[in-house]
Amino acid sequence: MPEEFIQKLKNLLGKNLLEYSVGRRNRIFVKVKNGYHREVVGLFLEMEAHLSVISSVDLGEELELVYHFEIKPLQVCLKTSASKAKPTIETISDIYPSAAWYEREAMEMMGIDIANHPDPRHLFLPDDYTEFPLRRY
Amino acid sequence: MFEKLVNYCRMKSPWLLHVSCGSCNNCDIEVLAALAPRFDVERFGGVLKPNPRHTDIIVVTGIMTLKMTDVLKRLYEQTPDPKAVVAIGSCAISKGIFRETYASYGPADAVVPVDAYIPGCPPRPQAILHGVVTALSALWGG
Amino acid sequence: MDMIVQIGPQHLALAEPERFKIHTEGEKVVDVEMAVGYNHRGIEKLAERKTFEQDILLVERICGICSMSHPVAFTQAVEDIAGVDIPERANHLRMIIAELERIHSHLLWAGIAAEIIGIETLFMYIWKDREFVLDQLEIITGNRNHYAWNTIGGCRKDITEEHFPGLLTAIEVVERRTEFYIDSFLRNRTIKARLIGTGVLPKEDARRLCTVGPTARASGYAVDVRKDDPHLAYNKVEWEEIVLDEGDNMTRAKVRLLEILESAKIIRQAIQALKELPEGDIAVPVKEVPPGESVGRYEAPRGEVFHYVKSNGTFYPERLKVRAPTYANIQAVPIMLLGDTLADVPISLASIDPCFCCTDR
Repeated sequence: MPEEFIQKLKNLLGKNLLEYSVGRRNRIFVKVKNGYHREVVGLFLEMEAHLSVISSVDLGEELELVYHFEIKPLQVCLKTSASKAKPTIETISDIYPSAAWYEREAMEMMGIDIANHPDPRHLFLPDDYTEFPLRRY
Repeated sequence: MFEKLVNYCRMKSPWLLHVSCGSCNNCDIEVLAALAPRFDVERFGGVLKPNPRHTDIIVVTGIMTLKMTDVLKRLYEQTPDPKAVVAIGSCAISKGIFRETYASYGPADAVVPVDAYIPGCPPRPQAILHGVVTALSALWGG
Repeated sequence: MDMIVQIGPQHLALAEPERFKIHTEGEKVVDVEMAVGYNHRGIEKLAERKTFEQDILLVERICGICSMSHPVAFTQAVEDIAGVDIPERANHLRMIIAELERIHSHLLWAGIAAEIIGIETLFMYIWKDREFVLDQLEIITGNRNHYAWNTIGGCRKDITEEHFPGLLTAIEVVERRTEFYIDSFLRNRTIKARLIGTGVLPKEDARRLCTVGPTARASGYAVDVRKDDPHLAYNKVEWEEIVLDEGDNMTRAKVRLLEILESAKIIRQAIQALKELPEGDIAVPVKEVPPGESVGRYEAPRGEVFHYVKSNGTFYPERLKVRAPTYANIQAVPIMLLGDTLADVPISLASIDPCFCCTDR
C-alpha cells in the first residue's frame, strides 16, 4: 500500500518529488520542490485526507514546512522548504481552512513568509514581539 | 475591639478569586477538587467568586506568561484592601520545570506581592486547604 | 441593539485564560472573535534543551488532565525512531492507566458541564465519584495526576496481583454511578432543555475543519486513533467506537458518558490479559536514539494528540512539535455559537471540552 501511494506521487510530480522514505507502522515521509505542494494537497483533498497539523523546522540554511496528513491507513508527512534568505511558501488555507491557524503559528515562530494568507496576525505571541523563538541562530 | 471582631469575621469567611496565569491546569483542578465533597473548603467559609471587587484572597497559579501578566496586575489593583495573595504550585513559586523559558516574566512574586506559598506539583487539596487556613490566621488571626 | 460581550481572560466559566469577543444583536450571537496565547509557555523550545528522558516529564506537564496522553504519544514516536518494540505487558499497563485517565477526565467534564448549566448538586455528586478513580491512580502510580508512568522502552512500574481487587471494585462502582448519570442527563427536564438543539455542528463542517475526538464523533465524523492507527493493545481487546449523528451539546455529552462504559470494559479485559502475561517484563533498554524522525499519535479524552519528533543522533531532540486536540476543535467554535443566544455560549464553549493549556503549550 505505501508503494502504490509513492508511485501515484511519482506519476503526478515526476522530478519535482525530491525524496521519499517509508518508516515503521505506515509512516511515509515525502519531500517536494517549493511551489508544487499545492498540487499534492489538492490530490489529498480528493482522497479525503485529514490534516492533523503543519510543523516548521529550521534546517540551518533552509526553513522547512511539514504538512501532516492521515489518508487511512497511512500517515503522510509532506515536506517543502525555502531558503532562509527568502523563505516564501504559498498558503493552503483555501484548500484546507483549518490550515490558517497552523500557518499563523509557523509565521510567528519560525519567520516563514506564507504568501496570500487571509489573516497574518500573531497567534500565540504578543503583537509587539519581534523575534522568532524557534529559529536556531 | 471592633477591629478584632471584623478580623474574626474576615477569617471565618474568605472569598477567593482564582486567576490562572499560564499553568498546566492541574493546580486549578485541585483547587476545584477542594470544593468537592471529599475535601470541602466551604466548611471553612470559603467560596469561589468571579468578581475581584468581592474577594479577600487572590489564588494565583502558573508561570506569569507574556500576555497574562498585565491582566493579573489589573485584577490585583481592582481588589479592595485588605487582601492576600496565595501562590499555589511549583510554577507560581519558582517557575518549576519551565525555569528557562522565554515566555515568562518570572514567578508570581516578581509581579504581585505574595503572602503565602503552597508547594507541590500539584499540591494535594488537603495541602491547599491547610495553606489557605494558615495564611488566614497568620494575616488576620492576630 | 448591538453589543460586544467579552468573555475575558479571567472568567468563572473558563478554568483557563483565553479571550472571546461575542458580537450580539439583541440576545442572538452574530460573530465570535477568539484570541489565544494567554497560556503560552514555550514548551517546544524548552524540549530542545532537555534530553529525551527529561522531555517525558516536560511533556507530561503540558496539561494536567491529559497527563498520560502526551508522554505516550512522545515515547511512541521516540521508540519508532529507535526501532524498538516494547513488551506486551508494557502495552497493557499503559492502556490501563490511559483508560483510567479517560474515565476521570470525562467525569470531570460532566461535572463542569452540570455546574455551568447551574445544577451544582450534580457537580458535587460527580466529583465525589471521580475521587474513587483518583484513589486507584494514586495507589498504583503514586500521584493523583502527573503519573511519570512511561519511560523510553516501556513502563517504570508494574500492576500486580495485589492491585487487581481494588481496581475491579472501583470500576464496578464507577460503572453503576455512570449509568445513573446517563439517566439524569437523558431524562432531567432542565438538562434536556439546555442541551438539546444548542451548539449544533453539522457533519460537513466537522469534516471540512478536520475536528477530532468526541466533538467530531458526535457529528457523525468517525475519527478515533484507537481504531484508525492501532497502538498499545487496542486491537487485542473488544470495544466499540461511539459515533452519533445530531451534533448538538446533548450528543457530545452522550458520547462522553457512553465512552466511560467502554473504557471500563477495556480495563477489565486488560486486567484479564495481565494475569496471563509473565510479571516483571515491562521495559526494554534503549541506549541511544539514532538520527531520524517519526510521528506519535494517541487518542486523548479530547481527541487526537499528535507529536512529531526529529532526532539528530545526539542526546537532545532536534525538534518536537505538539498538536493538542483543542487546537483543531477550537476552529469549529464560531460555527457552533452562531445563531444561539448569549446564555448558551458558556455551555457550548465547554462542550468541546477545551484545554487551552494544551493549545497554547
